[in-house]
Amino acid sequence: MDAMAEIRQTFFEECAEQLAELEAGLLAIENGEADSDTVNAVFRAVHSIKGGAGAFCLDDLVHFAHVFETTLDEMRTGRLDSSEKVVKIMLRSADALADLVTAARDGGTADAERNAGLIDELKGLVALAKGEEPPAPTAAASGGSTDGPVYDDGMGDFDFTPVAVDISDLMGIGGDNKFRIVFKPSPRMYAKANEANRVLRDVYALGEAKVSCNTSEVPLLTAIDPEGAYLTFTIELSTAEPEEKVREVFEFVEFDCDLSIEAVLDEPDGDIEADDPDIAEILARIRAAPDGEPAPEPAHEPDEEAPVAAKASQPEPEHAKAAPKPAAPPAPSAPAAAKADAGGDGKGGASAGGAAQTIRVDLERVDRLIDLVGELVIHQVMLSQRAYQAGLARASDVAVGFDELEQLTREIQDSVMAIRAQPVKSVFQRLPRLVREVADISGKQVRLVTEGEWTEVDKTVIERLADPLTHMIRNAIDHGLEKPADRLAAGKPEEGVVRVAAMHRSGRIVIEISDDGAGINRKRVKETAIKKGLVPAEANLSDEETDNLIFLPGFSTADKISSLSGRGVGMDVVKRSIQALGGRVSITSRPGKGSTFTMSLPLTLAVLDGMIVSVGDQTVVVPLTAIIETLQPKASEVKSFGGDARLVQVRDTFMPLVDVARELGYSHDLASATGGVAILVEAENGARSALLVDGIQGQRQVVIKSLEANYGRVPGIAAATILGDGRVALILDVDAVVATSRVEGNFFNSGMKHAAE
Amino acid sequence: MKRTILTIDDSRTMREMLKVTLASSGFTVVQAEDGQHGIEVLEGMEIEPDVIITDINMPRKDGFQFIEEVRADASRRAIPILVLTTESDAEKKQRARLAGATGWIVKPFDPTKLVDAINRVAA
Repeated sequence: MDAMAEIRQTFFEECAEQLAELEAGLLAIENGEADSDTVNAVFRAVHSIKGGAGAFCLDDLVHFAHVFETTLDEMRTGRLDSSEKVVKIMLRSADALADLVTAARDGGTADAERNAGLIDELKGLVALAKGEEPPAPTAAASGGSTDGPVYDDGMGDFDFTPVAVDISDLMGIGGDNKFRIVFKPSPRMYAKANEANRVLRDVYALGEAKVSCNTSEVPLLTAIDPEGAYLTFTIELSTAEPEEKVREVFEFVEFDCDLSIEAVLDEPDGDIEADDPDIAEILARIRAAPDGEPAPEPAHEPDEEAPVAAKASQPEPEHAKAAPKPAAPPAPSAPAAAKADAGGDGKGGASAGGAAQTIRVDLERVDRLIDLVGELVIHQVMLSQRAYQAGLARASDVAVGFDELEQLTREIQDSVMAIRAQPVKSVFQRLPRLVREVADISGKQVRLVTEGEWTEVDKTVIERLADPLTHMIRNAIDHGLEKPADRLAAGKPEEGVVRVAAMHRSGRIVIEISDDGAGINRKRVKETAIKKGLVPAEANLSDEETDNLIFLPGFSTADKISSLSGRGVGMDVVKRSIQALGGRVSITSRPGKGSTFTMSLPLTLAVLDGMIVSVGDQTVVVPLTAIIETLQPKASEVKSFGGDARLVQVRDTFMPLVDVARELGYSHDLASATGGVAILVEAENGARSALLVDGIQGQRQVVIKSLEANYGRVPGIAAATILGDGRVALILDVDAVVATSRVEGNFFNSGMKHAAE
Repeated sequence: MKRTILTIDDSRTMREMLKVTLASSGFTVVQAEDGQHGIEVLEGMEIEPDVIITDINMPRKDGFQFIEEVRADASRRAIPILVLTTESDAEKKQRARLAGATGWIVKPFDPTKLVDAINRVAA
């Protein structure tokens, strides 16, 4: 990645942080919890985004951020109040800004019409703010007098006796515009590290200049104030440049000097360079300043340098050579610089108030470390097993050492895993916007409450958490909460509450999404399910079973209630994506009181809870999340259908019985169904099968090793792991195996029906 | 000897951009994240920077306060301080000037102009 791309990435990362800060700040303002720090932080967030966007020529973003910033500035200065209406517009603007950032990052387009509308609203707010108070002349316009008498320049009346420095005989690049410039630096100018000679050099660069210096104010040596300013320069400039260019030269100093720039129509008067005292004499006077004292002021420099600069008659002061012009934007050495910065940037993020020390590390490096620690754990186990096999006594010191080593390696493993852990805050903080949008569209009033946003979970889990969470919240508002009128009628406050809480529970992260709406309409759910043939009409379902019908594939596709759900995502998809993460989801509901969706996810995707089973002479791992139950089939429960297809009866249903050894090519012969164990699994799509294996060895957490990265893709195998004794075990891809077993779905379905009859 | 520039900006993007631009022009770059941090970094430097470039709008201590604090130390009046500011902020330029800034650079900056500005003020 070149330096620019890297900075660009940094920019977008930073944008995300700023947007989060912006939203958090606006919400605090909305809740009336805002102090001036909050308002400043909000302003700064937009300001920062604008600054960075400008550097990348993201014009739409800059424009919008600029208008937004201007409005926030009104709030910052107190001219604009933070009424609900104002904050609402700002929140929507924050959303629009986020969209613009996304569009800029991914190359998409933002909703130009909405943005234009918001820009008008924002401008309206500024006008409102300005209207309430008489348009106070912002200093921006004037910029004039700096008359803070910070320094006394000690000037009395002076007698103007100019010194001429004639450069007219040198190469002239003069032009038609002639100016007379009188430039009298004040001590203030020097106090700001500006110097007259540099200014004059810039003037020379513009064209042909005659500079004369009035030294009449230079006092006697004993009276010289080392920090004083005593010289006045008069410059006759002939240049092709317009007046603005000339003024630009004085840009940095114009308020720290007496300056007049006049366009001269005629030839300059000749009187200036007339009767001057000998310049050498003056130089001598100045140079006579006592050693060790700071130079009185750089007044002598123009005299010294003028000829040089004039001779060359070009802008380059000699020291410019020391700093070669940048060869356009960043050179290749830059990534290293940026990297070093990333590393050395350890001072706590400014937003965090400098408290927490953080470093930014490539995820790859962390993953490599996790891999290595995984290897370490395995080798440690192997080593001790071999030592015991070689006859090491359990009570020996070496054995004690092994135990300690094992403890230590486990701790290292946990700590390394923790590096990847992040608080779910990054997902939670996107929710307020979602809730606002959904509430707007559905015409409901919603208050979002989040809890446990600092609960940590692996980064990959966080990334994949957003989609299902989004859908569940959308669902909670859209289907869970009632319309304000209905709520009032039911004796509830108009505003509904959606609560999202994260917590750790037995080695997993649990996220609950609850609403205080009407709860699941069980009657309707059941009717729908029956209508769609998902359950038999006469089925006798418990409340819980009825509630969970909404997760069935095909349940939520029909009579869509609102535009929100038009995205074609039903709860079945949500359930599947959670299962794909090794998670589970369930619902509890109380009529009239609301519903709670509970999803539980593993803390990391790097390890997996697995059931270790024997298949032939191999050991295979079945992900625990897919397993519903295990059983030992009796001969009477197994039905064979032409060829090798078998079904097993589990209570009142039948499901395909998959011979795993055969499926994976470990054996040619069909294993006896009664000799083994049947593991009932459910695929992500809800399809169930029974996996026939030889035996169960146990249950444990295994480190997932990608087979694709190290070997290649194998159908039916999701990944591999290394067991404690150093053997490689394959992790079964339950979905794939189940799908294969149900390939002839119709056959099985009809078979099942027959079998059930 | 390479000249040293102290850059102060709370935006990581800006810091990196300044660093890349300045480093490729042969400057040594020292960074700080806000005015307060800038003062701390400055105190910790063995040799004073040749130029300081500072943002204005920063948490904890803004650019104005930073400049005032630097200028309050008479020995630091000779360090040129350039302010990074956005175009529209004439008022800020003015305030920066009063605080003791030497000059300013308009954001977003053109790398060539940035280096020119540094050369204009650096001894």
